[in-house]
This record gives sequence, C-alpha cells and structure tokens, in this order.
Amino acid sequence: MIKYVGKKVLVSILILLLVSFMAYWIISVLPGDAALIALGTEATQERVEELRAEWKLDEPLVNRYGAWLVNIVHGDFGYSTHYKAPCLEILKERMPITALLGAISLAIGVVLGILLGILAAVKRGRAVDTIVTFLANLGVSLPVFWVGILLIYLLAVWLKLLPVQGYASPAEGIGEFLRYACLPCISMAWGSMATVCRQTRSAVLETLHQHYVKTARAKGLTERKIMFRHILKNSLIPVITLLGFQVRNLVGGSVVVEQIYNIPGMGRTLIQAVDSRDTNMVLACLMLIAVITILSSLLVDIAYGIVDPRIRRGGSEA
Amino acid sequence: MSEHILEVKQISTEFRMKHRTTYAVNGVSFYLDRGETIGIVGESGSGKSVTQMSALGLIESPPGVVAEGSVLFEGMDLVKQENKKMLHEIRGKRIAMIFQDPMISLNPTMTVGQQITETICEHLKLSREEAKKRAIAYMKKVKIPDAELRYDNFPFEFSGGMCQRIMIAMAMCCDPSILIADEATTALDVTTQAQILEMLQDIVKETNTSLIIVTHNLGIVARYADRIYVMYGGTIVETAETDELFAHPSHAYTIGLLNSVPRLDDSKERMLMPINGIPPTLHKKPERCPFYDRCTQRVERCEKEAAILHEVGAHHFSSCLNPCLDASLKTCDELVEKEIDWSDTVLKVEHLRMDFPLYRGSLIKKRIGTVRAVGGVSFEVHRGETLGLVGESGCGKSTVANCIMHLLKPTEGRISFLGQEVTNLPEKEFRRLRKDIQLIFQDPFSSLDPKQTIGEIVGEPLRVHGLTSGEKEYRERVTELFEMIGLDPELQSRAPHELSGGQRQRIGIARALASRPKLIICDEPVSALDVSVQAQIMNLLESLQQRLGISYLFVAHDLSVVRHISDRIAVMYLGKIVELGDWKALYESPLHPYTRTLLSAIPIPDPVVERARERQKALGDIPSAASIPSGCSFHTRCPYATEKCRAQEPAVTVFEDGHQVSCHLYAERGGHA
Repeated sequence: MIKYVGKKVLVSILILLLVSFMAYWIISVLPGDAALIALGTEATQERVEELRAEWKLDEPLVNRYGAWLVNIVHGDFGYSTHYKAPCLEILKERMPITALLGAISLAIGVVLGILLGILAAVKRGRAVDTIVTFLANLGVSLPVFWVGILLIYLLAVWLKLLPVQGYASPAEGIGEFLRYACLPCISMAWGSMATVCRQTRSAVLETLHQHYVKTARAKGLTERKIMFRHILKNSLIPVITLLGFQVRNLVGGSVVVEQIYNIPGMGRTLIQAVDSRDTNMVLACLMLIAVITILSSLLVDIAYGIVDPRIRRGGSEA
Repeated sequence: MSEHILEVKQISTEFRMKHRTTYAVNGVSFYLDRGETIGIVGESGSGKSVTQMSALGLIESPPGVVAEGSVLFEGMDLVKQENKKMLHEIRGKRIAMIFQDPMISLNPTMTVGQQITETICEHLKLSREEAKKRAIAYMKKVKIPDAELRYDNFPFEFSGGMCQRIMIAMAMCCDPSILIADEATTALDVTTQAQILEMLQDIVKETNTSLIIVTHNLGIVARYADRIYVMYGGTIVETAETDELFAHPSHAYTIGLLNSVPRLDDSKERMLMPINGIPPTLHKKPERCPFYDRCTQRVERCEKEAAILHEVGAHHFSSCLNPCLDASLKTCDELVEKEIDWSDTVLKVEHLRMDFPLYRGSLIKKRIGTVRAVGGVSFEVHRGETLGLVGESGCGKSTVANCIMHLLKPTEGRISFLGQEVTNLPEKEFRRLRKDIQLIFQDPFSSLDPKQTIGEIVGEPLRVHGLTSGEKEYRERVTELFEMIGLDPELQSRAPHELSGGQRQRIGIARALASRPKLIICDEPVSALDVSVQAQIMNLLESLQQRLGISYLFVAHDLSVVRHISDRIAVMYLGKIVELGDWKALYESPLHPYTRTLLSAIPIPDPVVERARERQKALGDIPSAASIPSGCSFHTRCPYATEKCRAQEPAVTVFEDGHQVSCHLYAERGGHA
C-alpha cells in the first residue's frame, strides 16, 4: 500500500511540474504584459523597458520560469501588481472562503447524490425512480450559471427569503453565514449531485445482478444487509472515480458562482487577476487549482486502494 | 416411508416481460428425503435452476413470478405469501445453495473469512470470536490448507477450485438440512471437479444432509445421485432411481440424451446420435410433450394428448406416450476405416517452447519471472489423422495451437508444415500457407463478425486468397460449402445472431473449409455447446474428414469427446506432453499417473460401470505455470512420487507400439527416444 501511494505521489509531482510550465509559458506569450498594464497606454517606450527590466520580464522564458519555480518552492508567490500586496496574503484571505463553500457543496452533492441514486435503483421502474432520474438528467444538462441566476430570481428576488448576493464569514455568526452560503452552495452542488446520482443508480443496478448478491440472498441475509454490506461497497468503486472529477468541476464552478453571487473567493480573484494582467496572481491561482485537482485525484486513487482489495494487494497470487 | 424433508408440488414459474411471457417452469413436482442425494439433469434452458431458485424465493421479481404450486419444507409452504418473511431464516441456515461460477459468486471486496462468518453470525447468533473459530473449522473441513492464514484472504487470491471450497464451507457452516449445488462444478477443471464432488459427498454423508445436484452432466448424476429427475422444456419428463433410470430409460428425451453423449468407455463403433432441432422457446404454455418437435420416436397420441408423468416401473415415472421405445445405444452399421497416410506428415512440431515474461510496474517494467506456457513439446500429425491434444486449463494446449497458427512466435523449437519449416517464416510468406491451415474456434458467438452475413463469412477466405475466378464460381463454392455443413444455402443472407449456437459453429467450420485446408486446428470446438448439439458437430467433423481427407489437431479438455474423434492422443500437463499414444492404448491402458487421474476424474453416465471402476484421485491443486515444480512437474500431485521425481525430469520412454510416456515408473521398460 505504501509503495502504491508513493508511486502515485511521484507521478502527481511530475504532472504538477508539467502543468506549472505550461501555465507559465501560456501566460508569457499572451499579448500585453504587466509592465504595459501598470503604466497604461500613454507610457513611453523607455519607461516600459525600464519597468520590464526591473520586474525581470526581459530575461529568457526558461530563466524566468526557473526563478519563479524556485520562489514558489520557497513559498513565495511573488507580488500582486493589482492588489498591491504579496499574492500569498491575498490567497490566504480568499482561499478559505472558496474551500469552505466548495467542501459544503461537495458534501451535499456526494451524500445526496449517493442516497438518491440508491433510492432510484432500489425503487427502479417506480414513480420515485422516474422523478429522481428526471431531475438528475435535468441537473446534468443545466449549466451552473443558469441554475445560479434562476435560484437568485426564485428565492431572493421573488420570494425574498435569502439575500441576492454577498458573503458573510462564519465568524459573523453561523446563521448569517448560512443565509448567504445557501444559494451558492446549492448552485454548485446541483450538478455534482446529479452526476453522482446517475452513476450510483447505474452502478447499484449493475451490482444487483452480480452473482455474489445471489449468494448473499441464498445465505439468508435481509435485503438491508445485502444492500449495505455487499452492494454498496462494490457499487461505490465507479462512483469514487467521479469524485475526482467533481472536485475539478467545483473549482471551475466556483469561478462562475463567485462572480454571480459576488463572493470574495478565489474564483473572483482569478478573474480579476486575469483582467488586470496580474501575472503573479494568475499563476498563483492556477498553481493552487492544479494542486487541488491533482490532490483530489491522488485521494481518489488512494480511496480505490482502500475500497478494492485487488488494487491494494496488487494482483492475484494464483 | 418417512415424511419428505422437501416436497415441491406442481410449481410453475413465469418471467413476465413487457412483450412476452416465458413459461420457464411448468408444473414441476419433486421430493427429497433426509440424507438423500438427488440429481436434476437437463440442458441449458430446461428450467432446472429456475425450479430450485423458485423454491427458495430467489427468482428475481419482477419479471419472475412463481405462478402456482407449493414448496413444503418441513411442513411449511415456502411459496405462501405469509411465509415469505421466514425465508431469510431458512435460506443459508436450513437450505443452503452453491452456484456455478465460484469466482464471481463471492463478494470481491470482502475477505473469505468475513463472508463465512457473516453467515454464521446471521443465523447462529454466536459472538465474533466463536463465529471465526467455527468458520476456520469449516474451512479446514473443506480442506483449505492453512485455513487460519487464508481466513483473511480475498476471493481473487484463491483458485477457482478453492473458491468453490469456500462456497461449500459457507453453505455448510450452519449445518443445513438441504444443500443445493447448482452446476457447482461446471466451471472447474475435471480433476478439481472430481475432488470437489468427492468432498461434497463425504460431507453430506457425514452430516446426513440432503443434497440436490443440478447439472447438465449425466456422468455426475450417475456417479453421485440416488435418484434422478430429467428435465426438458420446463417440465420433468422422467424420474427414477439412478440404476433404474440408466438401465431402463423410458422417455424419448432421456434416450436421446444418452445416445448423444460421448462416453469414456465407448467403443469406436458407437455412433453419436444427435438430437436434431433446438429446444423450445417456452413463450407459450406447452400443450403437449415439449420434446415433440425434436422427437424421433413420437407416436400418434403425442400430437393430441398432454404428456403427464405416469408410472412405468417401481418408483419410475415417465411422461413419454410411446409405449415401445427403442432404448439401445446406436452403433454404426459398418465401421468405416479411415484412410490415414502414416508416411505423409502434414505437421511436425519439435521441442516447441513458449515463455511469457512476467512484468511488474507500469512506467518502468521490471521482469520478475517467466511463465513457461509450453516447455518442449514434440508431435506429428499425419494426412487424414486426428491428433487429440488434451489437458486441463492452463496446460498450454491453446498456446501450442497459436504457435502453429503463427499467431505467437515460439521461444524455441521448430514447426514444419507440409515438409517446410515455418517457424521463422516472415508473416508475408507464411500468408501463402494460411489457406492450408485453418482454425475452428471455441466460442461460436464471438468468433463470427456480427456485421457480416453468414454467406460473406464463409466466402471471405475465397476472396482473401483469390481461390475462385469470377463471381459465378464463388457463388457455387459458397453454396457447396453450405451443403457440406448441412445448412440450407438459402440462409446465406442471414446475420450470425439469427442462428443457434450449433448453426454458428457450422458456419465456423464452413469458413475453415473454404480454402480447402490440409490441416484444421479445432480449439475446443464443442465445449460451448449443449450435449445434444455437440454430437451434431462431432459427427459433422468426422464425416468431413472421411470425405476430404483433412488432418485435425483437436484441442480439448473433455477426454470423452477427444476419445470419440481422435486416432492418437497427446496428454499435456503444465506445458509438457506427459503421454502420447493410440486412442485405444491410451484409454484402455493409460501409463502416466496424470492420465490415469484425468480419466478417473471423468464420470461415466452409467452407474453400474461407475461403481466397478477403479479410480485414482489427484492430490491438491494444479501449480501455477509461473512456478512449475522441479523434476517431473506432476510430482506434487502424484501418488507414486519418489525422491527421483522431485529431482530429475523424466525422459521420454517409447514402447514398441509407439506409445510414449514421460515418467520414471516406466524408464526401464521401454527404449529411450
């Protein structure tokens, strides 16, 4: 198991390096660099060149990348030209907001998705199944921004139950936080709930027909025990794969949702940084997103090993 | 007579699908006494498994419905709605069941120990500690070596035979009164099958458990059952005590079945009589004998009257309406002497060796070992001859076939075809020879392109090798091929999925014949087919050989089938030929202990013969091809093994009649090769 995890970690680091270079390279070839943006269009050519030299923008790409990488490894993400503060400080402030909302959304999506999926599979062909499947299909096909705007209109503008936008940190009171967090979380969770639900439903249905379920029945176990001991664990294997994707989708979703609900999280920070050509900030955000994504797929791989003994024990002896 | 422990009365099960209903079981009644072993025999689709599942409430519902009937277990009707809740206390505790494929019948994510303990805890209310102790005791009872250590293993860490032992331990751990074995050994190798069945018999005798053996194999019931029920088309067509049934079969279907199954003790003159046609689809409730359409012995009454079981002897019931059935085994009118040209060697294989490296790791591959699939095999096939190549799964017989077909490049050795060495021939040059060497596959379902019509499939080799000039000749040849294999040429535009298994296998044969090959390699050509259809294909292969003078290399695991068709037989074990000889010598006086074990493991569908047989049991499991034992590779399982067998590999001993064996027991008696 340790060897298995070690190998996965090594591969993850390699991927991270590759991603960092790609990100750095793509941003460096974009037209309009930080010096131009900072000085505005009326600046003289000399002044721009001066600032470029000062910010070391005139050195070759590989050198700049190397220096940047070394800084990052030392925990220095550079200075944000837009926020006029070190990137790390800004991120420290904004990252937790996104992480908290994301975690809540993920929990809602996964837990409800699995439960509804099981419900639909057990009651297959009945009315409950039809309704759940319909909603899940709807969830998969509706984009996040549309759901977000719809929810605002329904619950905030029309029914006036919740605030239209904004954010309150849990420090300001849990009730207040929930009032603000409710809609963004639902809009983010909606899609993953639908995906997880569909996957769970089909995985459970497939497992139901496996021979070992027949064996479990022949053993005289009650349907409840068969479901929880034999079917669930085996059907969760394909669902786990999805979790990795869900984390990635949530990161993407947070960019949109934070924009809609005007939440000062990382998603909004990223967009503002791109708008203002704040290279350091963009790269810091990208790296953070990459780390989260890679970490989540690493966790999925490890979870696989825990759930499926065939992976953990590495092949058969016979 | 004491009261029956289980009595099934007039049970009927239907599968109600949207478009149509399948009447899988129709009014089946049977009983079981305490300590008794009964056999329920039938081909696939006869309703034998569905009957058992219905009795235990294991039919998947929807679409399955037990429409009528009763199942009395110790006086309680299990089918009654109010008793349904009791079922899970009976299943596993009082009536246990084991299934066909042990590898997929165990939960892959739970250790085998957990799975056995689960049953014990469910029914016996023992503490965890006690349950574990009991589980280990039962694992020992089914002869799992190192049971304490293996308790924490997962199913994938066991072989198929071991998994079935676990299933048995799980079934027996609450001391049930009835054990149902549903095709429990079908997926296993013959020597493993024999071991499992022997053990099962010992356990049920010791605990006075009643056993129901559900199988398609007449030999198994002849050997192990006290009474037999024969099922066909969802009904029981005949039942009697085992000796009586085999001595006086009284239903046209039973007779047909006995006539179509090859036996290990057959004389060469015996003709296999296939049952023509296909089993009924059961989409209608049958009004007359379900066997009517395929019966060769039907009488006028069969058309109008419903077939009902009636007494034909002591405890012997049959639903056949023909009062004077012909029950004799058929023999050929005259024995057609095959023309074998022993001087003309079609295929010569010398010291063929095939190693597969074992790797570990994904990015950087490290070689951690070698699987010796074939370890030095030599044989010849002559013109017009059939050489049978037999062995259990993993013995390398298919690898040999693939090497000959140039699908694998052997590690060592020479293969000569029609006098020309082909071992290292580049594929481009070998392609010219491909028309002379053809292959028939095991699975008739996956070996035909589903997008081609069967006419195109049969004609493809003609086009590929450019064997016909012009469209007219092509058409004629395809028609001729269809006639040769006994299929209506009108069917040419059909797709493979419209045909039955037997018909598809005929198409596979026609495709192989198209290029007029000199040699056909038949890789398990009948093992995927039902017994009644098997006989059709074997007869076809034999008659084609007589007409066309083709040579066959017949690769199979079933020794009774091989006996029927082969002139000489080579027995393989772990990549080596341990014995090679004339079919008669090999079956009547087998030399190698492995051959003897293999032959003893196969039950003969005749209880009288079965009882008189001397049987040699194999010990243990087949070793993995990645770690082949030193010396004689059979020594780990051989009852005669000595120190010498462990240390030294036996040389080939050749007797005067050409019979070869690799065993130290015979080293002094024959000459060395």
